[in-house]
Amino acid sequence: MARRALDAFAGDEPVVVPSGSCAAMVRHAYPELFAGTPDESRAVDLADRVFEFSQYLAREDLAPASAASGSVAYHDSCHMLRILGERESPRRAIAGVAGLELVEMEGRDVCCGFGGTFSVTHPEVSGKLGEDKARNAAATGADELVACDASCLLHIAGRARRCGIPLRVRHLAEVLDS
Amino acid sequence: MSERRPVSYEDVTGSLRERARDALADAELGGNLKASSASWAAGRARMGEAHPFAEMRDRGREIRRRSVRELPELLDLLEQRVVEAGGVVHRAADGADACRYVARLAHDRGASLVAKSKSMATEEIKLNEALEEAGLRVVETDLGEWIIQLAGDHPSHIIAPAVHLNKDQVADLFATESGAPVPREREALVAHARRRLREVFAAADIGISGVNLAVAESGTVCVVENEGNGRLVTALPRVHVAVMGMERVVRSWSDAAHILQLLPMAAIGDDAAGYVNLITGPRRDDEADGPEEFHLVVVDGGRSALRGTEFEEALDCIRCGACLYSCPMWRSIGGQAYGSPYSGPIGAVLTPLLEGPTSPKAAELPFMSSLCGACHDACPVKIPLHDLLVRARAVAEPPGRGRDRLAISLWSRLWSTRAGYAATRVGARIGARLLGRRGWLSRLPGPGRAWTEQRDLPTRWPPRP
Repeated sequence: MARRALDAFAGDEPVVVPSGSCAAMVRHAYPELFAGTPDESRAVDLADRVFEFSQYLAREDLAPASAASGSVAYHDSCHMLRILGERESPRRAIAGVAGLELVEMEGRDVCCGFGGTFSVTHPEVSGKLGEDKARNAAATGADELVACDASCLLHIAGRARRCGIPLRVRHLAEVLDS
Repeated sequence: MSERRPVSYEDVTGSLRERARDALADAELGGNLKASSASWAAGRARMGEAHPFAEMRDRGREIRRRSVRELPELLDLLEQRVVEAGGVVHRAADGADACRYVARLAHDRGASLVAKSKSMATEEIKLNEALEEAGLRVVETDLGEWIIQLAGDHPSHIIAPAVHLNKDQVADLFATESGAPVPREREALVAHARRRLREVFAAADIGISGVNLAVAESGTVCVVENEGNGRLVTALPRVHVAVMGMERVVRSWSDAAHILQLLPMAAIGDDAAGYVNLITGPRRDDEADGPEEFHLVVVDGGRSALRGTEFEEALDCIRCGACLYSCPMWRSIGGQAYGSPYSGPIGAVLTPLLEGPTSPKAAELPFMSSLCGACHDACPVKIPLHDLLVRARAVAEPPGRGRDRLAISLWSRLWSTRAGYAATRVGARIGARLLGRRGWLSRLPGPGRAWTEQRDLPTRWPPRP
């Protein structure tokens, strides 16, 4: 699959990904995955020009003209924060939305428990962490929880509904599109 | 031929998932873990303000990488210096070898009582069991270790073994041990333990300690502790045996000074430990106290085989326990669910490496992680634990692994073609329409079951609560 991606994204254009985790996979793991293979240089090349969505906005100094009202909490997804090192770009993008307030929540940089296959290998631990995340987000009183990884949000929203915690979620790009 | 004994505990049963489920159901455990993790995090936050921790980590990593690279030479130098100082060095190929050496020594000296200070290496090689089988009485003198010895428990944390218990639970254990009621206040409990343990220090024939760090250039072992029991164990009995994993060595005092500062910063959020015992050989003629004999047991136990492999950095670990406290999984289930002396991220990497990737119990451990990377951020020597966990998964063979591999390879083949990817999208859409109720799915069949055991699945995006 990764080799397919190298073919599909050949060239020299920047590649923008709406997921911190996917961007981190290409940026951090592709070079290791293809190390010592004929595709190594292509993997390193793609790693250098892949950007997470908000990262790209910040890099190109782009500010979509969006407006909203109310408040959002932001979930620092793990690979976004700890592999890409992106804490500020998404917050800057939220701050750029006229009329929208960012509320910081407790445990904002703690894993939501999704973790890819972890969510089905250890569903109970995953569910506990998802519940913690949903409760912390709901406790801020913000109108919705925003993140740069749809998979985290899918898990958090699903767990919130199962636990009866009222919580709306949206991807950052959807917030900027309003 | 070296026999490979399991590192994980044989009395721990059930699958990791079952043990995790039991731990999650234990509300008292959850509270204890939450309190201890929060207290660690507060300490770390203080450290972050007071010290250039980022730079210290870089230097720590450089020291540990270099030490592991030079390991054979450093061990030769260490042995030479220890012998020059009047000590005896035994290089043990594995845990069984190390246990035999100590048991024989105890037998030859006619010992009956052994006092121990905290040591993960002896926990790994199951030294207590081996000595008890040889007819000796073994008493742990670190407060936490004594508590879990009384409870018949396994340690739940590398440096805080009884962190899963609270003071009321401890008071009950003390009362049972002494056969009389014990006050429940924290200070009174500590005073009680001190009184009981003083009797042991005075009577012990052999003291056994771990080693936090060995300094090759002077043949010194460093035993770091906060209770003073380590000093008594290494100084009062006639014989002192120090047991170390072979990687626990640095070349110089300049390297050692840095690691000895980094260790308490990472472990307890303090820039100095209560006691740092520096031991170079047995008592000399002009000295008033100290043991008559000093033995250093250096355990390989699968470590040397890791050098030069993609797992080598696991040997950099200084056993501070920071990755455990930082790990959302460890904080949720505690250390005992792992079933190994080494729990949390480093335990999930190290246990299968030391025990062998085909051991079913150890092979489950690398999967107890969401790969969130908090452990890497917490590690004072910057071990890329999340990468090691991924590599450990690649070689692990837990039960059901063949089925998972097949599923993933089919998935990969399906999504490698445009038509296959499109087909799953269409299939998902049809399935969502057929099974969804008001934008949500609450029960999925087959491979989706594990998902809906814990959560609903939105069939519309953004989902409406």
